[in-house]
Amino acid sequence: MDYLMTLGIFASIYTILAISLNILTGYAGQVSLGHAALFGVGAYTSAALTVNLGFNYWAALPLSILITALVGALIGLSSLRAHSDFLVLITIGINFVVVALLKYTPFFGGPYGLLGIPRPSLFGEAMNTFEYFWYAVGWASFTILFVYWMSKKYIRTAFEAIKEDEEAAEAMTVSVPRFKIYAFAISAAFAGLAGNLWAHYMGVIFPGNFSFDTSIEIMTMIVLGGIGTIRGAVFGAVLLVFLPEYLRFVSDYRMLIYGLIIVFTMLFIPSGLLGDNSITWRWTRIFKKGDRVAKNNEN
Amino acid sequence: MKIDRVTKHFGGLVAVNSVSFDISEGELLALVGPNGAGKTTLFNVITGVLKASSGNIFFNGKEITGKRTNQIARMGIGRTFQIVRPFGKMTVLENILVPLGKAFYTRLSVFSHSPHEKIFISKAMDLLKSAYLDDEANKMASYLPIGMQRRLEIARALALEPKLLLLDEPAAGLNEKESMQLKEYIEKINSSGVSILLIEHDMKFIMSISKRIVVLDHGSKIAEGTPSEIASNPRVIEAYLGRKHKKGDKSA
Ligand SMILES: Nc1ncnc2c1ncn2[C@@H]1O[C@H](COP(=O)(O)OP(=O)(O)O)[C@@H](O)[C@H]1O
Ligand SMILES: [Mg+2]
Repeated sequence: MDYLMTLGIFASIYTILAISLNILTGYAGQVSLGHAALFGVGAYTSAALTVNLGFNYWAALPLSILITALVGALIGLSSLRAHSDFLVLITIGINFVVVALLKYTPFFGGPYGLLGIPRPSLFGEAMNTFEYFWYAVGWASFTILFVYWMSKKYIRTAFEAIKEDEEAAEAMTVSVPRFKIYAFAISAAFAGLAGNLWAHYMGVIFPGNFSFDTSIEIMTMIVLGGIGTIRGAVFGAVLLVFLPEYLRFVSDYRMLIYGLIIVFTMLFIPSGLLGDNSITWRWTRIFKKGDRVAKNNEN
Repeated sequence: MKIDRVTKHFGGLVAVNSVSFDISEGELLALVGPNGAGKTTLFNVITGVLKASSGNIFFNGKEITGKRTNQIARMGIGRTFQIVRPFGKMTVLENILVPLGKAFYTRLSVFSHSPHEKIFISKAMDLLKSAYLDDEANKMASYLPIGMQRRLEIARALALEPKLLLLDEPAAGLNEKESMQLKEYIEKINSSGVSILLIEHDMKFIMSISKRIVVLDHGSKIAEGTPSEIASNPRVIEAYLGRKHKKGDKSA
């Protein structure tokens, strides 16, 4: 039972990560292969605040989110100079730099990581796995609701505009730098939240938890589920957390399988399993609202 | 708008060479000149896409030289592109909803206001109707024929409620019927009080729509006047015909 709960916690954390990358890449079109760096900034900030500096968890939580958002905004700011084709390279570079910095900084425990990260406590008692499961599910649900709400607002329109055409967006009064920084900051805030949840569940974190492999994992989730949709991010995250646990070969050849998933999805169902235009998503709609699908196809 | 001795270099190439002219309120001014004369470059300098090498541009008495594109758009200058750039993966309606959020993009209300609000949808539908595009509202913009994409771009620029509209070869590639529809649309916009600066190649189109013309050649203004003055101006004739002769010589 604890094992299932643990998987549920991981699924919640990866759901938050996938949704947060989806804000940046799916909505705003800024492709990042370094998302794990922000996940790591959140985890290490919260761990260092509680372990090294004696902060209470409930104070460390908002601080870790805020600091990660600031780091995200800075990454966004520094990437403004680069053409968007190079953003992928920059974010990969950032991922390696962040992991290396963590590895070589004694304050962050170096290669041995930080240990003894406390569980948050409710009414004076540290949460057990069961309680933490609901705590993580709660945050994942909040993330889904918040981003869903955001996706109906003008902020999403601005993101879509800069994704499609930066010059046309500017001509329509949408400031490209401003909204790129917004996208990085909002995305980073949720990555920071995920990092916080990870650190305080695991109790111990290593630089390797936040390596390039993890960035690829998060990207695979949104590519498989369907870039640009919340349902796709949730589906991809939950599937890729549970699948390796039940299919031995998936866990043995994890990176190989992620690579294959990315290649095959991009080649054959570029909008992902649950993307708006994918065949697979339309199938599921046929069972529900056959007439609406038919109408959409006419257009 | 006042353009005062604006120059734009690309390395050694002088694409726009100390060009000056004014557009008065409500006017429809045509900007013509052979290919490569610097017309599009001038548009890009006006809208802040490119930085002027020297010179100043004033709009409504305020200097706009050096401002960012989104600020210039916000001040009331709308534009279209020579090579159309609608937001291709958005629907026609969504394309119009983007500029209708103008008031929110500089504020935190960008998080609270929705493009699905009734007021925006109905405003957008009105704009589409006047561009003869209301039937296409839910189609993906990139699926429209070029003539419709051109009108969509104009409607999108109009959604900013601009005081000045810059149109870059809006009639290029259109058939006779589309061209007529476009002309009607442009005249309608102009008579509603929006000043227009129009780049166009089709002289027949220009002569029938504008009262004043500015001619560029090799980056410099070589003439300015009414259609009939321009048509009989020897420098203009040379710029157009001379170029053709040279081309003929080369290929011969
Ligand atoms: N971004 C650019 N970089 C370098 N040269 C350019 C650029 N844009 C335009 N040019 C050059 O400037 C000149 C004017 O081009 P353009 O303004 O597009 O002319 P027009 O719109 O009148 O046909 C041309 O010689 C063109 O090759
Ligand atoms: Mg041009």
